[in-house]
Amino acid sequence: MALTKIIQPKLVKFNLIASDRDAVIDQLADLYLKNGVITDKERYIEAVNERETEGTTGIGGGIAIPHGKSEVVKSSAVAIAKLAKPVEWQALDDKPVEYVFLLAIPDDGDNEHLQLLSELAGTLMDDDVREKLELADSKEDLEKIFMK
Amino acid sequence: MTWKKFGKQLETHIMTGISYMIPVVISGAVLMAISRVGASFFGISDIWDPKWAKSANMIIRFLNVDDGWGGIALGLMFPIISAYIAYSIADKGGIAPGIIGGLLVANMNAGFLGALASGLIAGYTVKFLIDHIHLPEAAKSVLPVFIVPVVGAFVTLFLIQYVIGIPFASLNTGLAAWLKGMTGTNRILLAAIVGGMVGFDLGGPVNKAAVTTAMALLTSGVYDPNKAAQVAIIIPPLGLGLATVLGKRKFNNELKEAGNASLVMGLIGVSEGAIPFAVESPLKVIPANVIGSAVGSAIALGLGAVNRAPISGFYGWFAVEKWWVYIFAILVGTLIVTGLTLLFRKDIKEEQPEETEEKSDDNDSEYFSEDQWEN
Amino acid sequence: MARKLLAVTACATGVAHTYMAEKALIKAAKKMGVLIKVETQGATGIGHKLTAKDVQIGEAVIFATDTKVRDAERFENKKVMQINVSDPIKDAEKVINDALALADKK
Repeated sequence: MALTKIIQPKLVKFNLIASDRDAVIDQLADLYLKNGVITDKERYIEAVNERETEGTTGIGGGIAIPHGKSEVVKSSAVAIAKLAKPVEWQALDDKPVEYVFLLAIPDDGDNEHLQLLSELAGTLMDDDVREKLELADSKEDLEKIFMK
Repeated sequence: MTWKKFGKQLETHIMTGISYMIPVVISGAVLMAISRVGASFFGISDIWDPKWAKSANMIIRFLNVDDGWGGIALGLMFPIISAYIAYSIADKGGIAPGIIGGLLVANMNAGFLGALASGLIAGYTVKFLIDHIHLPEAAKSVLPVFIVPVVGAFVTLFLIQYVIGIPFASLNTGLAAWLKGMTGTNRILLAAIVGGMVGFDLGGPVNKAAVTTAMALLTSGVYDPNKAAQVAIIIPPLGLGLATVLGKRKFNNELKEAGNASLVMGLIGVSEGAIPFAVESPLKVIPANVIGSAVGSAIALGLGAVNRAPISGFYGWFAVEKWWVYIFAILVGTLIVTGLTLLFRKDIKEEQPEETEEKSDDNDSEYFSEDQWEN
Repeated sequence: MARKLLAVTACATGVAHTYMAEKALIKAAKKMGVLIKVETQGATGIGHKLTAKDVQIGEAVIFATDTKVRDAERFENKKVMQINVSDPIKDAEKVINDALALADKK
């Protein structure tokens, strides 16, 4: 799998400390801004929240996959975080969320990257991947799951 | 939608059309090859001539009929490619306008560029109709069975006849007149021009202008243009066919199949064998064909080969005065087309890993076989 | 003979949920011994496009979509179950059972 192509170690956070959903997104958006993935944090968060109002992105199993599609996104990316303490996300299974995959999607991204993001989303449905997520003990473990 | 994305989609649509057209081309090529090679055993080099239908020999009569069958198959090339380009763009609704437009293209000799245009016009017209006409639920069925085919076909036919057809037709007559006026000029230059025109659109208006003028001049005893044309007719299909053999990595499987058919068609003197390639990437194929055909024609004429018959297949080669020069000219022209094609085309290697990746992905998601699904 | 279903998945952004719903349906169907073909209509185009033959074979069609299904006329005479794209992600087995029940309904 070529998922390695879109997973950047500097966009992976282990034991992120945040009190609620908004704080998680805010921190990860900060990370994007610092690394030049997005040009305008507020507008990006707006896009993410807009998507969230259409339906929760908490897909169950403690995983959430919020995403924002906006012209302020310069390149497709995914930021991955394991939270120090699970937060409420109104997930499909009503469980709090511990693993967050925040996707950044440009308005007209090239197909290859979007396909990789889609593939990543698909793998999150694997029991195998979910199990490994739970076993992850460090940032490196987290990265390794998708770098097979 | 960005232009790049649009171009990518266009490529898939055209490739879909080509993939549906190739079996038609192959069946036509083989039918014709049977007839023409068979006829060569009887020393006949114009088996398509109606006079053979009255031959006393039953086999010859059949070979004449069989050549007609091949012609029918090849005549379907343009309707089929046009229909399936439209199908790729607009789904089922595209087929009727596409096939009708393609037949008009075939009837008015608008060539593969015309067929390409017809498929795209039909496809996008139908797509526009489907996307933009919203009828109340009760009247919905009128859209696919009446509005789409009728309006789609009308718009396609109208644009082909009057927007594409008229310039093509005047291009054809204009070039023919121009060529006739050139008979006094330098022979080698003339040969190169005729050769280039023949190689340009493979049976389209430019090609037809050159071929019909050459044949008309033949009857008045001017052999040069004919020679040039006959050499040039077979260079593109041979050159492109050879390119698929030498540059396997640069062609997908379908085009490789088309390459074999193209070689056969080149040998029996049918330039249409090169059409699948020309449709797939006209900007790369047309220059290669023009240069190869022009050089081949110029060499044949410059070194003094004389072909008096309007026959370009291999069975006519030995009837040519100085046939070794003639064959040498074909060889050089063919190698130029092959060389330029291989030079212009990139390896599709970079896409292949993606394909295999997709396949391994398929294996993940498709946990059952097609057989299980169908039974 | 195994049961056979069809599905189309699509979400508004066309990047994440479309493909998660696809995987969820396939995973559940596999577990339940049901054959399913899933077409994804995402931002990068249509994946695993269902052919006319597929449509003929499938007993019912699941539209797990939050947007308009592209080329929906292919399924004109089929039994169609319209649900949200998140439903299979939440409980794909239930979705498949519902679709099988729909297929059995006269």
